Amino acid sequence: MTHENKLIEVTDLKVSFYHESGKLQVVRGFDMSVEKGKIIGILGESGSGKTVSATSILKLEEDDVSSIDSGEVIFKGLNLMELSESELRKIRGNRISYIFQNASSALNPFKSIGKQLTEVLKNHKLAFSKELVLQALVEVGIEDTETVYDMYPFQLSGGQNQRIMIAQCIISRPDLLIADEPTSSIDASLRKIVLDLLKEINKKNNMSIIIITHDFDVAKYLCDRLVIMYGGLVVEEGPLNEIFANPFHPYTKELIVCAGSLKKGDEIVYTLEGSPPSPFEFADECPFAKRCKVRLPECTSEIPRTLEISGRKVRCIRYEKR
Amino acid sequence: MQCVALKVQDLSKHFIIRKSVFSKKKIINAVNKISFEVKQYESLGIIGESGSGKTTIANMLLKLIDSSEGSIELFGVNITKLSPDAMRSHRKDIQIIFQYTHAVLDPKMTIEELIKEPLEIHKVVNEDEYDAEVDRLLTMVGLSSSERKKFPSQLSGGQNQRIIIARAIATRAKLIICDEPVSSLDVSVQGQILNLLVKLKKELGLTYVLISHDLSVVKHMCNRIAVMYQGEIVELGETGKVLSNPTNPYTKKLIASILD
Repeated sequence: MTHENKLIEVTDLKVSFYHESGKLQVVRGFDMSVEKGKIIGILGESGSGKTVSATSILKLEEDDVSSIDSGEVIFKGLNLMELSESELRKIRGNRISYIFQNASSALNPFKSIGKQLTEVLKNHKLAFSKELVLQALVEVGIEDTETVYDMYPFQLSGGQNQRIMIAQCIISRPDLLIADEPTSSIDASLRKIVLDLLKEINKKNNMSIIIITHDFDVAKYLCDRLVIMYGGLVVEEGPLNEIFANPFHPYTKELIVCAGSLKKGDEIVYTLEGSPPSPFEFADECPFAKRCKVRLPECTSEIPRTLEISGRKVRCIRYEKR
Repeated sequence: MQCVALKVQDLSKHFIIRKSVFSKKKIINAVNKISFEVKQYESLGIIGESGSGKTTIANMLLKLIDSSEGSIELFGVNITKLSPDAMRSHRKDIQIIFQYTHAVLDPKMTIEELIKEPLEIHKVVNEDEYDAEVDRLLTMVGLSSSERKKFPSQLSGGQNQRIIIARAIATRAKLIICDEPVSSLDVSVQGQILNLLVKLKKELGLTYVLISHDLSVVKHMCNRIAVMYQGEIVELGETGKVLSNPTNPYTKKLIASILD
């Protein structure tokens, strides 16, 4: 990976939330980089810190509830962590767009589709015209764009609204699109269509995409590289096919077997005992140690360091010994 | 011969929507004349997208809402027109496992109280046996009695789902409706709950009606499957046959949407 190809690079991001008895660190070590035109998946279970990591890239978490303890986010030579709110506003929704998890509540019910899309362009002082909006609607596969232009979100189906959301995010031609669980609130029969749409946008516009998901199938269908999170840490990172062919981290290994077992039609589904730790249970140890079948005594003495092995990254003490 | 646990005939539910006193009534056919049978010890899966009427059926089967037309027979008894009082004695036979959300379990009740509640309501065992029964149920769902004094917020999602299951089997229910039993759980925990449901079915001789939008879950759990689309059952048959050789266009679309 050459340095020039990197669109965004996040190093050592740590994020805490405030609660009654002090600060609680929910993201304890997040590193990732995205190359131009690639699709990266952040895969993890609930509470693993994937959404907070992504929103923190754009400093979307509010200052009075959370704090970014450390970290650097370099986007096209700029460190986003050092930018002021008004400078960030020029990047958010313009150079980096974000599709939020609950798409249905993200559209304004009182404004027509055309008006909402034009607003994005106006807000970022970009050239705007009806043609540009119609073109964006065509790109996300809306038929009869002239009619939809004057319609309101409640007149459209869930799947159409999801497309409008995506149109809203790509109309400014961003360099990077972050999509948080873009398919979790829509029906199974629409899921593939939305994923195919993202794939197409990625190819046509050479737009990089970060997709946050807990769903193995979604990651497998879409991504070039994967970032796997567990307990607020990135535990493994690398090209998708290499991770699937030869997972390094014990958690990744277990996850692949778990997800495959139900599909294969095993009579008893292969399971992983226990459950992922909540941020309240985070300690200075490998977060997966309690459920790990190849645990060593040293695993509970400190948080493992990230190791680089042939272009991939893994955070497991077992690889330090080699 | 296997006895029929549940027989549903021409069941419909219409919701009448009226925006104001002056506007015209609008009738929505949430469920439209559906019929199906579930034999004892069988598992029937109901799949379909949101708004197709899956949960409306579950609510009608449990008589949480009244049906508009049609009949429901539970172990040979027509429960469609039963009064709430008369229904109470049948209610312990049919229970539901809800999808785990924070709304399902009262956050101010301990695990012990939560499991004791159905025992008290349905007088399943004598008062002096409550303690032993709670322990027995906890063991059955794979939890230890050390969790008794905890609150739902102190347990993980998977553990709370086990509590919801314990409450459903507490009444010695024979037919259990599972509404999206694993869809809110993490991948590494889903399998644990599915295995538990399979184990309990064998041990207790349960009959399941499983509602899910996840084809692989239905395929794993159910021998028969009903595909719902816009309030109607568009396809009904053995799971293997329906999935390998779908005849309805919607079923085909659903199967084509599986990601490989």
